[in-house]
Amino acid sequence: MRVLKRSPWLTGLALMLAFVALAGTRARADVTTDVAGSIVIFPKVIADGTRDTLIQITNTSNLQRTVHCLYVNASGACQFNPGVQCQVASDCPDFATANEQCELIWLEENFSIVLTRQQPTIWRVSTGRRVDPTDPANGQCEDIPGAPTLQDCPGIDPGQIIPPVQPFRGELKCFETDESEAPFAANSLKGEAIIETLGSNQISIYNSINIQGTDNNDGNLALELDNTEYNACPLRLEVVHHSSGATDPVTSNLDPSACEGAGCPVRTEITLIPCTQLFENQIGAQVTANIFVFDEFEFPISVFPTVDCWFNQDVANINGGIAFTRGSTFVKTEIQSQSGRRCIAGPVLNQQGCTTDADCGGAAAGGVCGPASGLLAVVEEFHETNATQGLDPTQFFGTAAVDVHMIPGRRGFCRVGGPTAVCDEDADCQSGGLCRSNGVACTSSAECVASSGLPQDFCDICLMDVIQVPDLNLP
Amino acid sequence: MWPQGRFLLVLEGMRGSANRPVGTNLFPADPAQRPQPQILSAKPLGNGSTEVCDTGPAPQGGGVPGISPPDFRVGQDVTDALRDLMCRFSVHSSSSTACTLNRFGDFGFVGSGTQTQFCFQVPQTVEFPAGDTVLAAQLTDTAGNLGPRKEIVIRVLP
Repeated sequence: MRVLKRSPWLTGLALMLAFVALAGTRARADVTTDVAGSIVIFPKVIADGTRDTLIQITNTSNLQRTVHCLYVNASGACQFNPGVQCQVASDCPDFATANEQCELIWLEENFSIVLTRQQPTIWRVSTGRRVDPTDPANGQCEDIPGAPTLQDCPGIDPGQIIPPVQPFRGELKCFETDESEAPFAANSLKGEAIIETLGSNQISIYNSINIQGTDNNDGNLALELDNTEYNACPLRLEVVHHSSGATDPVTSNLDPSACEGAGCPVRTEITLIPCTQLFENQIGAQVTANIFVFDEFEFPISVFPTVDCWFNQDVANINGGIAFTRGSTFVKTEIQSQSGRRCIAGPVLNQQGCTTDADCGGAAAGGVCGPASGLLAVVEEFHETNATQGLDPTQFFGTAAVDVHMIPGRRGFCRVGGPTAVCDEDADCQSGGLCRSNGVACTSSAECVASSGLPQDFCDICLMDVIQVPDLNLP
Repeated sequence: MWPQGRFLLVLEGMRGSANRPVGTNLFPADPAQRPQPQILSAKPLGNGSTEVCDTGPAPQGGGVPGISPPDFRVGQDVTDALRDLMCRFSVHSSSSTACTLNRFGDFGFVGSGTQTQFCFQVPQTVEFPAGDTVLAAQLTDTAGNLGPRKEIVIRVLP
């Protein structure tokens, strides 16, 4: 009989050591609402006393993820009536008589959260979420006695989530970081926003817009949406919705009496945000949106509103209104940012029609002549009946949010190479780039951060969009 | 080769001839004790801080000291370096909860016979330096039996 002598030091544990790409793939032009990404954007977030928003964010990976979030408050107040919220001057009561203007702010507030493997989390924007290890595993978010601005929610708290300054109307943007809070791309985040109309049973839900990152993330505070570090913003947005004031065919069919007289009109609001946002300088890109609307009879209408930081308008009010007289119930809307160049940074920011950096104050002064910012959007519809019209404006028969289709194909300009050098990604620009802050020649953002000492500096090679986030020195 | 010093570092193992499970204790309570999965770096990672398990963002968070050659010799400096690096890993004991994806895009271990996986998302504070860095790894089973020593060279492009 054979005896096997076994040495405890030769047990032969099999072992494999490997390193793996973070994002796994180098996807391109994938800005989606149904695939996880590294930047998640909620274009429409409201907490203004009339409406509130629940935010859900989920880690879809099997590793713990750190996430940094920015609330961007774009509330406006009327010049002579500061208690009145506005988005455009015509919202203000003294606009017609005294040319009262709407004074918009654009202010970001940031916080970080940590999500365990596959963890979903939720919070209410108006209250945030307090860290409390004694939270039960189930139940609902509850107010905290003595601290009305905070709520306790069940489950593992992802961190202290601050409520933003209110009234809040704007967007929420979150991006993945590594544990040292340097941005990176593992494409593991998804989210949903639930806008509720307080005092009613009406909610509107939409998916977050998710921008996927690539393996080329340099970890600095400039998130470049250029198909090289993160995927580029879409070329065009498309959505089908009720035409302004059209009668809701479903409600009128279900209960014709509900629509007799005043009818059951549907109102549509479009929310647009620019892809480029320079938080460090408190600048949201200005861009002209080209909006083309087609009715069921192929009849087009076009309007060209200016988008400043955050744009939220009823389609009936955009540049005088998008209204069809032929009775079309549904319309198809296409939204695209303006073509051509404008000054996207520097001393003469937002000037249109530039051809070189010199037109924007010069590269050494940070002047950049580049493509106008891309756009992202969400659409919300408000359905009314005889019973709700003319009553409390919050009492809608129904509300619904819609994610828009995002058509890829946005192209940029090579920063070096003249006005005709178009590009899809950095590799298309063989002459390298220039540092955003001072125009020094560069091939990588690390060179720019080293030369300027600015953590948000980066190397502009294929000019598209960028989110420059502020220093992440959290309170 | 890799264009930057941040990536996902993965260590996988399976039962050896003793037929004991792979040990998963990443940070024993006794500071003199070594973790069961063990990885040493020949070069300092990040700022090479000697503080053990200084995770999180800088300035509190720091790197991992290098041990050259990475030979797992006896010594508290080696034990500290092992504890400093391994406390940052997570344990994945089934393929469906792996930190990696298989060729179909589903969660799955890298190796076909893997029973336990250890993963570390290398952050900026533990960034690998430009050039070549040798990592040495070995596993112990739950009875303390030591497995074979393996090495990998991580080459970060400047």
